[in-house]
Amino acid sequence: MLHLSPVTTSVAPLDGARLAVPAGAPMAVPVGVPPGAPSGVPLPGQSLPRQVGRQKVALRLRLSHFLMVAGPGLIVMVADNDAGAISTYTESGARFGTSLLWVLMLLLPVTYFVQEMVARLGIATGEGLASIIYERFGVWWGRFCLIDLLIVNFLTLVTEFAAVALASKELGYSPSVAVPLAAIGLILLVGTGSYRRWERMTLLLCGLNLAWLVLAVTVRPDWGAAAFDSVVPSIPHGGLSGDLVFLVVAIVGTTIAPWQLFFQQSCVADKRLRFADLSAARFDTAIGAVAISIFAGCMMLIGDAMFRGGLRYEDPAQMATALEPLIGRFGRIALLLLVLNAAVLGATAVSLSSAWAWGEVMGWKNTLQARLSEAPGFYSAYAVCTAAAAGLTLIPGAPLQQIILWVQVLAGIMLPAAIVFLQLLLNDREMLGVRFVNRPWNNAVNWLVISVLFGLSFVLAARALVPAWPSFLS
Amino acid sequence: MSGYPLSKPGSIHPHHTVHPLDAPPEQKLFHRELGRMALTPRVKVALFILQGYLGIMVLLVGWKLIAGT
Repeated sequence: MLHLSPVTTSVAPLDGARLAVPAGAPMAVPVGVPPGAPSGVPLPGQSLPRQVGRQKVALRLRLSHFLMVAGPGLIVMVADNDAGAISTYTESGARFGTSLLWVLMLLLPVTYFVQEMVARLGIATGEGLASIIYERFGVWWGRFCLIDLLIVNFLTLVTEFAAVALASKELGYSPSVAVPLAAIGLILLVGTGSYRRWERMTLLLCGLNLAWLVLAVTVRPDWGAAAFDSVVPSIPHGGLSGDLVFLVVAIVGTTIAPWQLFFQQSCVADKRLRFADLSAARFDTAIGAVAISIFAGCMMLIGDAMFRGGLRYEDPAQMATALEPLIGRFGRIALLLLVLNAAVLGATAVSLSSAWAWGEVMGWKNTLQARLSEAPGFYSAYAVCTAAAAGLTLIPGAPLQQIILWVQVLAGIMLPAAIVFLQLLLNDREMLGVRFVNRPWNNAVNWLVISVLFGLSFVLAARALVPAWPSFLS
Repeated sequence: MSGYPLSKPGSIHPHHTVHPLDAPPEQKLFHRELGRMALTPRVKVALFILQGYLGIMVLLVGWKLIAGT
């Protein structure tokens, strides 16, 4: 994913900042919005209709530029609402009603800040995070991050396929057919040799998540209480308990996962986003952050319906059946299909994050623009991760509970490490110069977020390893 | 989503934008010759804290594996 061709540096027309063009370099090549295009700013002496016309054209240009750049931010966020996330958010609603909606509101800016950093780093360097950690922090840290990422991603993949198995079984299809079919579909999805084709298909899957809004309305939540709980932090009835702390930590751990950092940066690099695309990429990430919060809120509201009805369930697939009297047969099928969709979306993003990171470190050609024969290592890594995880799910008596436990432990190890490297890299003036490094306020916010994530990741991992902990809260 | 022909500026249509994959690659700020990051006090402290955190996590994992619970 190296883009080190002779200088054809472009100048940012959208975010106002300009990049110093080295002496002797050709004049700026227009990207994004061409020079001379209407800016929307009326020129002296222009008539009003002409000014309005120029503004319309400028708006259209910006919109079309955004639509071309958008994708990585939205995909990473929506894919994060995977099968595990559905389980966590609905459990939160089923146990504590709407009381924890404020956690999602709190996480919205945090998610944006973290993912904006990787988008910025990806645009500035044209490289994935794994590759830069390897180069800037040395082989030991590089291998540590890569191996940890590959293991935690693989175990996460197993949980995605487990959800495919559960949902397909509830829909009346045999998991031994549905899981291999899902794996084949996932491999075909990336093997088309076109980034754009993969992105469009994946965005289509993301769009299906809008059905969560319909389902949330169908369960007839108490909108007043939901609105209040979204903006006013409160402790649910029953007070502060170990379970409550663990669930809050699990929500945070679900919303900000290690693979997301690696995925978005590699995706931005693969899409070859330019310096001029930074503003649009930020907007894409912001929309994704809002989308993830809204969809997660809908999942909590659906869980809240279980809470109000006093219904019990083991997994989201069972929940769909338990809610049938309320949401109808169509709603039940829609909910199961949403679980399937979330698992497939999560699986493609997680597998790609592994394949990109692996390929970057190994120096393989690793782009979705390449045909299978041109990037065999990259596609093989993706296919092997997907097929092995699907195969493991189908083994009778596979230790799924143990796998979920180790996902939490390894994520608790991986996330703080990845995020510290990210923060250090975004203060690396030697590499990024002045334009792309963090601003002082940016650093203050990020170090605060990192400190909190350190603490929460530790609680999540420690709780998974020592179930009785933190007993002092119980 | 095809872009305008960049090699012919005169033919640029002012109402078109260029998809990143259709644009010529731009020179990025990262290159292999940069080597390792300079170990400033901030970097040293951050890596030291990270190592401490990972050490605690390794001890916890080790305890879990030995205890076999």
